[in-house]
Amino acid sequence: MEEISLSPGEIRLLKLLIDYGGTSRLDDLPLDKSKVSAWAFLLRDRGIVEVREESRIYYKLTERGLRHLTEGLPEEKLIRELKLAGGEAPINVLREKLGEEFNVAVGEAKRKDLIQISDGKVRLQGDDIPERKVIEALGKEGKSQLDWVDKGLIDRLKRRGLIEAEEERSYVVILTELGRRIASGEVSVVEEVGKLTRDLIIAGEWKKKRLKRYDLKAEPPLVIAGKPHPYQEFLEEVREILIGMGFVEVKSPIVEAEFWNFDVLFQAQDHPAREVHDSYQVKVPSRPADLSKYGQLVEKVSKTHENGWITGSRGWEYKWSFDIARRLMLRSQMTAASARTLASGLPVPYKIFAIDKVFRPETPDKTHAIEFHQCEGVVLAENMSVRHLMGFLAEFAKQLGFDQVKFRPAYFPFTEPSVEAYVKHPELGWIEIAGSGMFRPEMMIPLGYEYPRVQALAWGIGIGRLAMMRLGIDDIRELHSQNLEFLRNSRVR
Amino acid sequence: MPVVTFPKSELERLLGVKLDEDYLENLLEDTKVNLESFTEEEVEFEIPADRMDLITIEGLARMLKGVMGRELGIPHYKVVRRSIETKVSESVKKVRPYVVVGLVKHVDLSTEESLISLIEAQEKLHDTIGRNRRRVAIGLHDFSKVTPPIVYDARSASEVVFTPLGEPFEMTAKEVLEQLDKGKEYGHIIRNPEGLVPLILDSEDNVLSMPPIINSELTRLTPGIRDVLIDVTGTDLKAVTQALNIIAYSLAERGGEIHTSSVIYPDGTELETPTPTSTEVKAEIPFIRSVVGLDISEEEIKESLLRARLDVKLSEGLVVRVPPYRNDFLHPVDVAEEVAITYGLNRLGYELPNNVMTVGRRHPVEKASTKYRELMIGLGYQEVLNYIMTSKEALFTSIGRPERPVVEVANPVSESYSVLRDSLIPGLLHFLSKNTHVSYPQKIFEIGDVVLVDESSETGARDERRLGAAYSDISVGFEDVYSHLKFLMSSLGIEIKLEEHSEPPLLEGRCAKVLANGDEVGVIGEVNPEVLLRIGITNPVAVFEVKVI
Repeated sequence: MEEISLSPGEIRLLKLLIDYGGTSRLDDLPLDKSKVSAWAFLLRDRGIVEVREESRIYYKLTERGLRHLTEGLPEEKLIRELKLAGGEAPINVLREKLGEEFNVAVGEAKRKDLIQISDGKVRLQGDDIPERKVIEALGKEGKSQLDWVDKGLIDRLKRRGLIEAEEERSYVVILTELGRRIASGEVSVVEEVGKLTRDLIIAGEWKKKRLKRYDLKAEPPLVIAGKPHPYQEFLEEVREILIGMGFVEVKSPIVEAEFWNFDVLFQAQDHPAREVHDSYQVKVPSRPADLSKYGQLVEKVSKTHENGWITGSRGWEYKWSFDIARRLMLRSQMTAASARTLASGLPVPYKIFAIDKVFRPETPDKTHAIEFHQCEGVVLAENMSVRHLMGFLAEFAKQLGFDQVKFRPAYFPFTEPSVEAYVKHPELGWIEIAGSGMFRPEMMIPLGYEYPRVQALAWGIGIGRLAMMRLGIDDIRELHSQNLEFLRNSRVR
Repeated sequence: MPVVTFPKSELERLLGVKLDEDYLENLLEDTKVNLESFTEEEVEFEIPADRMDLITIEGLARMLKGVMGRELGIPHYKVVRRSIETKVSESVKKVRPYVVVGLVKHVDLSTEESLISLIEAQEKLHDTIGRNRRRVAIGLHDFSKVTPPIVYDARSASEVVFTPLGEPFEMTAKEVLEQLDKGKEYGHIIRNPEGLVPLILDSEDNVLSMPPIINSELTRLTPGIRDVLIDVTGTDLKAVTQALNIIAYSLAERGGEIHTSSVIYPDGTELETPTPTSTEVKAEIPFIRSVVGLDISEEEIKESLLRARLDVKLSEGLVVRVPPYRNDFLHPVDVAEEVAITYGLNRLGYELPNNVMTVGRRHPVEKASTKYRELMIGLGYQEVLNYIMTSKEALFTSIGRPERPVVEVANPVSESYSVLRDSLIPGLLHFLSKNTHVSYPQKIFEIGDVVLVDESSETGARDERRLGAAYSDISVGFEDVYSHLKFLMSSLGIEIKLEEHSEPPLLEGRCAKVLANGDEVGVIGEVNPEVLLRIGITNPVAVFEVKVI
């Protein structure tokens, strides 16, 4: 025998429809309204029913209609008064009683032939008001098609503003040829199961039922789950690359002494980067940094600034101030972390990196942030040259997916030679990705390294700019996006 | 880095070639100078901070001629020594202590553009090494109006009378300070209790300039001027000498003859300015090769340095002569750099060294952070990143959190970024308040640093890595986030206990301290609805914040 498989919902709808004689409006069926149309369309797709759209006019009482339903129509009020007065009353008395409804009441009553007017008096001669039946019916049912009411009467009620029409669209389902064959038992129906349940499995029912085939075109429900921040992910990727290249991650404090941020780096005390518009000075805590642990280093750095000490340099030829070195600031370059780590006495060779935030008093806009990540790397080894520096930069760029690099000379206060690294971006052309160089002897020798036998290759990368390229954004503030939807929709790379 | 703009025609005149953008870009490729913009009229350059000698058009042209290979070594300048005298009086000491003077004769400044370029360089020197004229101010004068010797004196502002540059009448120095724009802008630099102003005068007591404010109309520069007197005053003798050397040797590039001045200070010290001779720097050839990383020949080293417009002697190592207008040679490594640059970094090529085997590793704080992050994502939380810099309003007032000491900066650009956060929770609540239109549930977390004031630390503050989480939905409460925290910490092998606690904006009775092995590691609770409504959140929010350990 021919067989067709349907879901439980479809089966319920089909059975009811057969009980209803093979055709029905969907709304008339006692089924869950939110699901019934989906079932109807599934049945239609299988050729079991036909679905037609039908629109019907319904009537319901207006606010005025509702009022007259309880207090009576104007003509009813007129009749009530006449009856009270014994079937006859003078016009002016009635006008006073009915007020502004008087004219409507008389007009309607006359039209229905319920009264006669003569000699300034109104006389009652009938009391049949067909409107009453209609508004009472609507009052009871709420809405109705009023198919038992005369068309003219409906129009009059509408004109008087007592009722209003409303169009309602609905679906009508009708059994097709196939549907009728199911109804007659020529085709049998097997129930399909949408989802396996524990009960179905345990009872062995699942074997008897048919598992519904998935509609592969249907979208699944949306899910909101947890995700890493796309920028954080990029920073993690950079960490991975550097760890893979043998670098040890180091840290340093955000509230820093100028000594570590500048002086150890041989950055002169009157260097413009140390002025108020280029670095954040600290108001609280209000005391200077405690550098008492670093007495010897302070001494060496001081002499190196003043006259070069034993470094072979002329130094800056000025009077170095300990008070300036002790001032607190917010870390403005990650080289501070390198300086602190180098001062702890590293074995040679050694490689360190730091990825953390630095702070500069900028006015935030698309390309400037007051705090941003810098990635600093240092290679400490014997017999290093500028060619090795460029070698590391090229390798790092390659790991990030840039095969073409070029280098240009640059100036940074604490490296010599200094080199800027550029990579070729497919759309943006040559882009500077790193400032780099070999730490100056005026930095290395006070830190206790045997320069030039031991050299340090160093670079700093504005990692935020690289992240922007990777994430395809052009506003640096979006790296700290406050938009939850943006983060939820972000791609994991 | 300073940016200078010069007329293109003048640069072409000095170089003797027509310039187009690609050609110029190419010339600059192996220099530290960047081409910022190029039009038919003007060319804009960014000059590196260690090469202030390139801030003049003549200095830039001198460097480019070396790059082009058209001229090598230090140009031959005619220097006439101690041609004029400058006397410094005792009174300037407290007002503006240093002056240096130089004279350049027979200069070709015939074109309008040459004067424009000179003024541009003067202004940019004021902005940079001059620190907006405070440290260094330069005065340029028509020497034909001057009768040497020169005098640098400080006198009472109300007694000095002269016609300031560009003004129709004589004024007193006091009026200059009070009435002229330049006086109002720079007057503070020389303000002193005695009411003195520094003056450059000639032997007939004519005021040549009142540094760092304004020159005198008397010695105004006009096209075609031949002999230029330069005075440089300031607070730093090294810087004023550098500025004078740069200007004087640039003018000498226009065929000028440098006349030095003997500058005599009240204590008898005599300076000769501009610096008349070059200095020597010795560098070992093997050291240069080790920095450069290639065994380039002595000849190549020598040629590179000559093209860098330095003079070279090869005898017992390398002796490099550095002209007075360059101050970027502190150490032999600076010679090595010059060789590397002029030889060409890209021509040197690159390689990875093979003797630097080391083992890399993540910092313990980052390693721990990664574990916390992975677990939070597993719990269905979205990671967010907020700024460390914030305001007291955001941290405390706006969310009813009692104020406590936090790190404050002395020079904030705006109030919104004036302190460092001491907790992640305020940032998370503000994040939620900006996203109330986005579908719920909202579960967010941040792993980041807070900065705590800490007397015992070296810098009076210390960073602490924290995890903060917030959960908001139509109905959400303490036990929801507590179960997440419990899962998180027990997954990390950390036993936690809660202890009753009160910490606004968390609700009394629905707030607790988080303890791990008896130590306080964080806080957990439901946010007071009054606070939520104040920041526009109508769904309940539960939060926790713990140290990453």
